Amino acid sequence: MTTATNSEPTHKGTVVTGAIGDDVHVIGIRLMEYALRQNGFNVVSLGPLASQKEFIDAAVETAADALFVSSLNGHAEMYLPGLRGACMEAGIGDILIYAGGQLTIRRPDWEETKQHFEKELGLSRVYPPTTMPDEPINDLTADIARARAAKTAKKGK
Amino acid sequence: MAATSNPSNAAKIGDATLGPVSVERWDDARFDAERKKVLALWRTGAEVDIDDAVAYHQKMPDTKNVAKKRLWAKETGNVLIQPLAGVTTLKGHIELMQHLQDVGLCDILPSQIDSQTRTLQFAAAEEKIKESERTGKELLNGFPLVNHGVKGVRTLVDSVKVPIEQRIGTVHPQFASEIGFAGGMSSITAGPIYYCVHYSRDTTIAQAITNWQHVFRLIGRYRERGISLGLQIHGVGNSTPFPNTILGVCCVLEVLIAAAQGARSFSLDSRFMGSMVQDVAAVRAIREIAEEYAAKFGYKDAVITIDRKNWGGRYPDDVARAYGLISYNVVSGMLAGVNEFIANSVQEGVGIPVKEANADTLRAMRQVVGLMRGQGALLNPAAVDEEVELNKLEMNAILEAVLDAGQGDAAKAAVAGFASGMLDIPFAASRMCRGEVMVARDAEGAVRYLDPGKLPLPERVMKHHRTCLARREAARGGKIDYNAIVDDIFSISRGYLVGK
Repeated sequence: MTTATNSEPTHKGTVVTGAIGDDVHVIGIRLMEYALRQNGFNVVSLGPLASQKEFIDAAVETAADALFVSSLNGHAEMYLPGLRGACMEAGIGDILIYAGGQLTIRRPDWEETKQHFEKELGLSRVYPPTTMPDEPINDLTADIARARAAKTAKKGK
Repeated sequence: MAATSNPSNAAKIGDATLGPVSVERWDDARFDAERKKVLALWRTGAEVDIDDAVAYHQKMPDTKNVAKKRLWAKETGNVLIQPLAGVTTLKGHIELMQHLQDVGLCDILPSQIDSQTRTLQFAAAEEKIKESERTGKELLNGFPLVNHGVKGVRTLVDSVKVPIEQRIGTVHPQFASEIGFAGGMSSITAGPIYYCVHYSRDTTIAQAITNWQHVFRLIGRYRERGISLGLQIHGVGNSTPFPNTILGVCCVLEVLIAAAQGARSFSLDSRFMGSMVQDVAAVRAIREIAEEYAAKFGYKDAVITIDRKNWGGRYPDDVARAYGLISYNVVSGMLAGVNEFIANSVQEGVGIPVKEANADTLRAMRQVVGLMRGQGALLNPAAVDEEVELNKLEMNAILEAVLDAGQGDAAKAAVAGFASGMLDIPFAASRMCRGEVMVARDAEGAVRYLDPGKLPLPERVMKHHRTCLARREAARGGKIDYNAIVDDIFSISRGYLVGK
């Protein structure tokens, strides 16, 4: 684990990773972690069976830029609702939240799933099981740049 | 897989307050006190009586004892086949076992235990058994043997002709092993390292060792009464490309931990990874290293055999292709000289296998085993010899480093090894692993270290791995990155080891 510092980070951003709820499938998230590190990100790994509280505590402790939530067992519908609200309560309401994997047990149209998780549950981005690591990493790089630019602009005012 | 255990049950047993974990044989008073606590967790604990169990085992023919059957296979050159299976109800499980015995012609029967039992949720298992009996649906993902009790297990044992190995993926194996052995099962899958790093998140290596020492001491106690009971030792290993050398190192540590409590029959895993040269070499290297360390630590009477698991990762969803994959594994295992195959089913890629497909798979394997039996042909012996030498060099280096850190105590070595990263695996579930190791296939499909983390690898080994990976990078026209690693995970089901 790394500790947050006030100095300018030497990495591209800090990401808290884990498989949420009762999920133990770690191969996907381990690959994601490896790819994130290879791309210069700082990774705080929670591993399997991570709770919302563990994600949030780790994010607050490390001043993380993003949560990468993995779920392959179809139970994301049980464990993701309320995550955005809990982040707001913890004072990190703006944090990026990405989720990926097999998010639902029944397999509806992907657009429907995406709408549900992004619009209704307030996640930043969700990805289907076949996603290769580069796609979320490119999105993350752009999202962090945007967030940091917005913060600087705010400070400047 | 990793799951949360019933906390009140888990807290009552596995007393680790007696000081730091050590390989030392438990004294009888400690063991008796621990057994009393374990057997009080559920009503069927009252059915366990060692005197009665010893008498029951003594009445069985040698052919119904897993340890004796493995010794016989080793001495006669026979190769055993064991499937994977287990369902909720006693009636359903007996029917399944008889089918695998009579139609699948297997040599050892499995009984895979459900996840409620593995996490000590006996009341929940009871509910599911009742519901399964009422609805005719098998609702648990295995055979809840603690709830069926000694009586239920003996009904099962009496209804088949071949011996049974209990297969239980857990860090809480104590109660289930008591019921299984008292019920006439004669082997159990183990042990502390494997089930800690792959099946648990927060359990420490030390706690897992303490819990498993109960099982090993129980086997020792039966042995003192003249009953041989077996262990299948997993070491480590998951369903992705994985180094058989780390598996071998952890097998040796698990063997030493178990032998110190009195166990003597060990079937060590080896895993199919796809490269014929590497897979053949791994079996020879693991066998030689395990025999070397067992002898070095004074267990000259240990019986060590090697089993080969069928591919444990993603399967082709085309059953015809799955037969090809399974047959190829048997060829590789036979060339390597394994003593046993642990079979899964050609329907792995489709979903939960039905018993007919399971039995069909066993007969397909039997055909290849029969045709290849006694054939000593070896492909490219120079390459295999070199790989054996490098594997042994690597396993020796890691074992010496961790045993040194543990002052010669295998239990302390396991704890110190994982804490320091001298023992580590790719894609770990447990927080006890650093997870810094990453592997990739080389140009010929063999598994090599892309990043060895903190494994204390000899320079010659690492150089060889780098050279092999460089050849793939040259063929690929670029670095091996995480996209190549993803590609490697799907190589077996896809049907060729290395893509462009």
